[in-house]
Amino acid sequence: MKNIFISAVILVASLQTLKSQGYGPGELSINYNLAIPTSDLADFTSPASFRGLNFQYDYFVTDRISVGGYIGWSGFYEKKEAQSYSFGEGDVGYAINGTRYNYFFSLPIMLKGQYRFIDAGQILPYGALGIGTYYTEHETYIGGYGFKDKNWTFGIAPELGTLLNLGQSGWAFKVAAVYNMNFYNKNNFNSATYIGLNFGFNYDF
Amino acid sequence: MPFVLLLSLNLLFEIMRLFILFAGLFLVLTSCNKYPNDTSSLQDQDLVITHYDATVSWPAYKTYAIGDTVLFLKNKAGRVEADTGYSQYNNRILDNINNNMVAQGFVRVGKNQNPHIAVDVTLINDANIESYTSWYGSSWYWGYPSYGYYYPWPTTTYYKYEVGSIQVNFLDITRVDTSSKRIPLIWGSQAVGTVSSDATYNATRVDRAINIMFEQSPYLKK
Repeated sequence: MKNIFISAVILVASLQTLKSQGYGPGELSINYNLAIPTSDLADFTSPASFRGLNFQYDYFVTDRISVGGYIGWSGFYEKKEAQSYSFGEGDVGYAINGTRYNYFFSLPIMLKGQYRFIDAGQILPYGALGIGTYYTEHETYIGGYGFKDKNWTFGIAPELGTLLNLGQSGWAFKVAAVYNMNFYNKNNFNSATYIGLNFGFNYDF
Repeated sequence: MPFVLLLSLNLLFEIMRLFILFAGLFLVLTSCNKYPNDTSSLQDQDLVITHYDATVSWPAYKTYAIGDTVLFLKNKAGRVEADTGYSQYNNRILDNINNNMVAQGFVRVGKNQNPHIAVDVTLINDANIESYTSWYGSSWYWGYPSYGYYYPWPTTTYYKYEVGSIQVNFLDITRVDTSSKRIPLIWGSQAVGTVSSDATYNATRVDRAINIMFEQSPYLKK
């Protein structure tokens, strides 16, 4: 047991080496988020979401590995032209026709591990994995009828991206693609997945 | 071990900073406008709701009779409100229903020729309707004075009591319950807000809504 503890301490201590590139162990980024719905979410709201933002923090424990987290949101919306929807409840059948308004709001709060494929230079590509929760607001309305449901569900988000350093300023452009896997298995959804495209700025301090 | 302690404190501060940062950001994020603004027209608010008894054998219903007028609902005081101009659509509504019934394969008969279905058409011209228990019944017309109507299922039925809504009901007068004096309603369809104050648009809305009532009821087709 003592040996494990000592090994762990040595491991943590050995991770605490300064990054060879940049100014400090911390990095902040703010990103505009464009989101393309897939699977069940695409059926519900097919257009891409142009409303989204996220904020990220990464703490580099080695030159290449960081731990951190992010919070963001994407708002999906679709107005579907009038059509009939049929459903049944026991011995009674229903059909309802009207213009339908669908809304899906997704707010990921993630812990993130990142690995930089290259640790020096102007272009710093990386792969990352986020694990955490998605807060969702799921709404649909037809006529004056509808429902709104709020949930917190588990999710993971693999990510590929790159930094494009702006000289030695500590600032960089950031471009990334994130596959959001929100395991939202409620209200006729098996999952709510979407591809997020991040465009933003990264500050190394 | 002071180095490890220092390291732990450092990490702790980082985590605290992160937490404060994220808490602040959460507030900012949740106050943002989530969706684009939508523009909706009058037609976007139209709604046609149909409910039906899924336990009956629909092909067995072959004939129907229909009244020659559109009824109004009673208000809370138990009175029928005066016509506020909606009755001008009576013939248009009834013609549309007849055309659709015939297209579905039903045969229209007189009310004394033992129809399978009695068709009641109601127009809601008063916003103060309490519930469908205050239905302005036409049971006398069908030969069952003082009889009431009922839905043969226990679940809630979706209704909106908006002025101008058209309600079409199928009464199963082959199964009138003479002991409890009740007539089952086996099909009901409501076009919500279809007759509006926009006179120029009303005619097309009436046509469209009644067609949808039947289009979304494929089991009626013979």
